[in-house]
Amino acid sequence: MQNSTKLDDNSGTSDYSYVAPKGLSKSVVREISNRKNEPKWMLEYRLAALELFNQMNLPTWGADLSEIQWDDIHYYLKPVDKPYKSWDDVPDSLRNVFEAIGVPEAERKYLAGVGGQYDSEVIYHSLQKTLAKKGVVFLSMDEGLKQYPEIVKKNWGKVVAIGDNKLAALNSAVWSGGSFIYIPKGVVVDLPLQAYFRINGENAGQFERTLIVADERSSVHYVEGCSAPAYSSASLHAAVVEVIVKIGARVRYTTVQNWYKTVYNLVTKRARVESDGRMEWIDCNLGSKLTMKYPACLLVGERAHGEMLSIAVASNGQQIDAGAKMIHLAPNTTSRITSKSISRNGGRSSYRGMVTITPQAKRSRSKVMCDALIMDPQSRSDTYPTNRIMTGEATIEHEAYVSKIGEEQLTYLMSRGLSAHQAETLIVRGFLEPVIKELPMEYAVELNRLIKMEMVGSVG
Amino acid sequence: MKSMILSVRKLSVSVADKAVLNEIDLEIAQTEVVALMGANGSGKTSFAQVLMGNPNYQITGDSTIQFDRKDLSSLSVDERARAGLFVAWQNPVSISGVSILSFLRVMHEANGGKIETLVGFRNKVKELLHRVGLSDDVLNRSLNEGFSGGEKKRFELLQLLLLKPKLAILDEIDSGVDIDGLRLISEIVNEMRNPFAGEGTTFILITHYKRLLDYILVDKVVIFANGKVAAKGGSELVEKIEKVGYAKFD
Repeated sequence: MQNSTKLDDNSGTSDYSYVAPKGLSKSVVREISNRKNEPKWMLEYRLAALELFNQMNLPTWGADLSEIQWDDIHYYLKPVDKPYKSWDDVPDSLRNVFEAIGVPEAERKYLAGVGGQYDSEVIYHSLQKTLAKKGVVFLSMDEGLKQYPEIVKKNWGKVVAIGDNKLAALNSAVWSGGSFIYIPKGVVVDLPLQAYFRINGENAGQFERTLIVADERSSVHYVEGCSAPAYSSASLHAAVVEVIVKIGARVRYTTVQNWYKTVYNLVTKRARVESDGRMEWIDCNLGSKLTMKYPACLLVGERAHGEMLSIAVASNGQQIDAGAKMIHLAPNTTSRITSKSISRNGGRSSYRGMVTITPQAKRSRSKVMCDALIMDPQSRSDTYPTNRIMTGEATIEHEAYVSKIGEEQLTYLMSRGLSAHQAETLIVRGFLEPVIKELPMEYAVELNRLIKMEMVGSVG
Repeated sequence: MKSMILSVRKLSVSVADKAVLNEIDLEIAQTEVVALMGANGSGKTSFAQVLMGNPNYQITGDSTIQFDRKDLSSLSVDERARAGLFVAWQNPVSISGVSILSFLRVMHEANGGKIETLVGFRNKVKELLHRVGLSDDVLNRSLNEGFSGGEKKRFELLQLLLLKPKLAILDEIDSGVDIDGLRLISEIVNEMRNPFAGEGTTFILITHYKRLLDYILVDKVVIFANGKVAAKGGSELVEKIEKVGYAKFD
């Protein structure tokens, strides 16, 4: 480890080879672009985005963002590559954290930056070989820009415009890391592509940028997830994800994240879905101080389908304002939103969603289901649905249920010898089951474990 | 002389300030089978729920409840269950998304049961399902969700078989159950009170009707009326109720 810098904030475990000075300026943006050896167009894009960020206002709806200290943030941190040679070299403090929270071994090693001799790299390389044969590209965004500048340039900022919102503009100016995925025509990728196998890049950054292009009739499932609360110690996470689903293609994008309870998690995720395409967002959010996240599908082609399945758990001091946007722009398009939220220990969760059916989207259908579980009288749940139907030939169904955790259910389970904590955990898992069963096995196990941890001490 | 598994003295109970039980005295010896009978609202279910520890039932006055030589009032609902007290609910609660198998696993382990392999446990549960007349496909259903009245009762019996409690209170286990169901209940009760090995289970059978008692030989009959013990005796009391009805005991 040479030339590494240790941040003095609560990161503790992370070392970086370069840390940009705090605050945002043209010179910081130039420095980022320079260090990454980017093409000129990307530097110009970044600078234009910075300009927009400075001009734009924060959203006036939703949650309060006025406490963010914009000048107190490092906008670029370059991690030291492979700081530890083997798991044995990883400091005990870090290992203990991972063990205590029950992160699977492969993921722990990855998080600790262990490279060289361990399994996930082997898996990653063999995966890369198989994928390469089919012409599939799966790289970090930085690497993708280097190796496939044309594909990146052609699709960059096409789904989430540079000035879509203030946070998207910020990401556009200082983005780093994230994934770049290209699936050629007709190629079906059977195994989920998991961000954590991709160890040769910075993918757990604060301002990661992901671009997925699924060409005609292709199919892919991308999973980003990390269960460690040490995922990011930074105070602000502002990612942008763009997905392009071409004719007849299918993309599932699964997120399982657990943030430090100091993090503002403000993410713009959007997919453009062409005819007969299908986009599925599965989004599980735990942790963070404040999350605002509304994955969207622009259904631009006939019979395109958009799907959103989400879980939000808000505890003490946390606010999760999340939902989905489905914009129907072509005839016979369909969408479905299933939102499950849990508020406990004074936490606050809100569903905020929008379904728009434009005049040309005749015979389109949408179904929205919001289930909120409130665990105690101190917690709160709200629903803010907005439906705009501009054609007579369309239907939107909206169902919202708010339930309080049943006293009788708890007593029944306890009368079978389960502790109050075990009983509550079982009820919560049952509530989330419809979403959890859609997750890849190891993530379902992880999420269950996280929820179990989250529930500790919640019943007196 | 068998020792007492349950001694209840001067038990008075209220729900939301309304008295539901009034100075109940009751002693039950190990592996006895006791029928607790009475009209609707006479306090039978309240008695079961109080023993179970349901927090909605407040014990008043200087009541004492001793279960297996422990002061029951100092134990929480789950501690009572783990100490060997089982109540088959009159209306078992359903919980969506919680599969039967995962519920039984958590329950079994919470009560000190060991699960060597999941496959082994699954097979054990399948055997029990067949035993109580439920089919395998129940395994993947949510706890009591969409169960018929009879299926719920059968699933309560399954839990009873898995837990092997010291004292089982079966609250109207016979309601909505056909003749085959009554036979099953009597088989289970007779088998569990005199097991091949280990301690037997003591039973309190809460019922309105004599018909369950045609299948099970009881040691004692207790009749509740208006929250009080109106009569105690042997099985001859059952015949009397058949003839004169509960009104006589008010």
